[in-house]
Amino acid sequence: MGKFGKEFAKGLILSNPVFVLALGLCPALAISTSIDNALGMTLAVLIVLLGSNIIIAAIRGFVPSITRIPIFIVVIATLVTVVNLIFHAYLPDMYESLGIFLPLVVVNCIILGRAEAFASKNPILHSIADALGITVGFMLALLMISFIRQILGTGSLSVFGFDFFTLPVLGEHPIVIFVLPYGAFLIIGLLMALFKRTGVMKGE
Amino acid sequence: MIIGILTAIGLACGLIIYMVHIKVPQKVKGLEKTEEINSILPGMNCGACGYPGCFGYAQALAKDPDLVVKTPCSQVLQDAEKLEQLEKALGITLDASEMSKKALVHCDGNSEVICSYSGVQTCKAAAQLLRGYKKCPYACLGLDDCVKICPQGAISIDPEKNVAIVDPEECTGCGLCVVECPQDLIELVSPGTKIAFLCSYKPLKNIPGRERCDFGCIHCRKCFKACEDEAIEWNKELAIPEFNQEKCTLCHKCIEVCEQNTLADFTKIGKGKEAELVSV
Repeated sequence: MGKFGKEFAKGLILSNPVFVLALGLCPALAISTSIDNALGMTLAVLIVLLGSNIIIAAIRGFVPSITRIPIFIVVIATLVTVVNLIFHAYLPDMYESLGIFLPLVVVNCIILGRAEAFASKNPILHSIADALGITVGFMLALLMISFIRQILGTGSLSVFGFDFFTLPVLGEHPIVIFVLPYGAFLIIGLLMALFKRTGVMKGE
Repeated sequence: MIIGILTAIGLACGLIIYMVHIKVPQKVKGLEKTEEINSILPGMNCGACGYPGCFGYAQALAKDPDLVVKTPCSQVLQDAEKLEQLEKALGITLDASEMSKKALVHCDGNSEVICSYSGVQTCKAAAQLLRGYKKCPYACLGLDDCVKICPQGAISIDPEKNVAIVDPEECTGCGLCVVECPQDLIELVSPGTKIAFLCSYKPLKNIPGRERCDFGCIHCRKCFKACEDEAIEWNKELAIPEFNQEKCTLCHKCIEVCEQNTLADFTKIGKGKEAELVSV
């Protein structure tokens, strides 16, 4: 496995942004009510993180370290604005259901964290691998949380309008707590504990 | 040097946003209808329809046009031109006279004052203290809560009877006073209502030491018996008459026979108020 593959694989499990680094919990809590929202958020994070990692890795040579944070923020804010405009124009339903959390990607700790910790020190190619790995890790975490929350909270599973199944008892009496933010905290905490206990994910 | 780099990156980023902004279509698909409806609505965001502002209402209407019948915008109903535009935008026909409801205060006033109240001069505060200072625990307290909330200035306090009176001509049926009244006296009724029942005393919720005032319904059923058109039905649970608008011919027999003067001709309520105010 080359350096590219290693940087990619690292984001999936070893430094999974939600379960191991515990970054970006705000969108993870707010968005993971349904699988649709989780995928929409992942798309937004993918565009912004990939773009910001490429740009920041490209300009890392001549950015003075004293002004790096305002420059990172300007770059990220630009990309978020672009994503905002694109979502508003082409995915209006997704734009509406993501709501305030789409512009809030600008202060998502995953993106600034990767810019600061990785892209500002590594070449472009590795930064791309890092961005992809972290995004896929983020997506896996969001899918896991939203899958459990959607089934327990609504009693049925449907993705982009396709209804897969509706559970017999849970469909009529869903456990509403799992749709609310504290339900998300519960699920994240339990999953995190499970992964720590089984040794699948160990902190860095 | 640092300032130069920051400026250059800032300018470059601004340029990127500008390029995307001019490339992306400005008229968003699926939102065209919402924006068309929004341009018809008054835009004062009063919230009386129950939605977060006019844009929220427009979004709901774009999804479900039939919603306008259930929760109509009272401002649009007043304006025939805007109503026509809204009908065109939604593709349905509306009957404005049937939809624009009017507020009616279910109290004739005059209830005896049984103690002196000198607290905060709002109905809400007074109602907290054992449901007010009048003999009837359901009486209109006449401390201006509804008068203050009414955006149209359609409610006034009758100084003689000390009761709120709604002028149906000014009332737009927004329903703000219905929520405001701590005694739950105000109800939105259809403008075609013929007989108004001016009492809300309910024998079921009897409070010890408090009783009906000398001016309220005594549940005698005289109106029920007097009606020749079978337009009055007796609600046994609440012991009050209920009126059928379609059967009622406005013969005034029930009003004449009522010894307590609890019934009134709804079509004359506003005008009667004006006449009284002039005489005072």
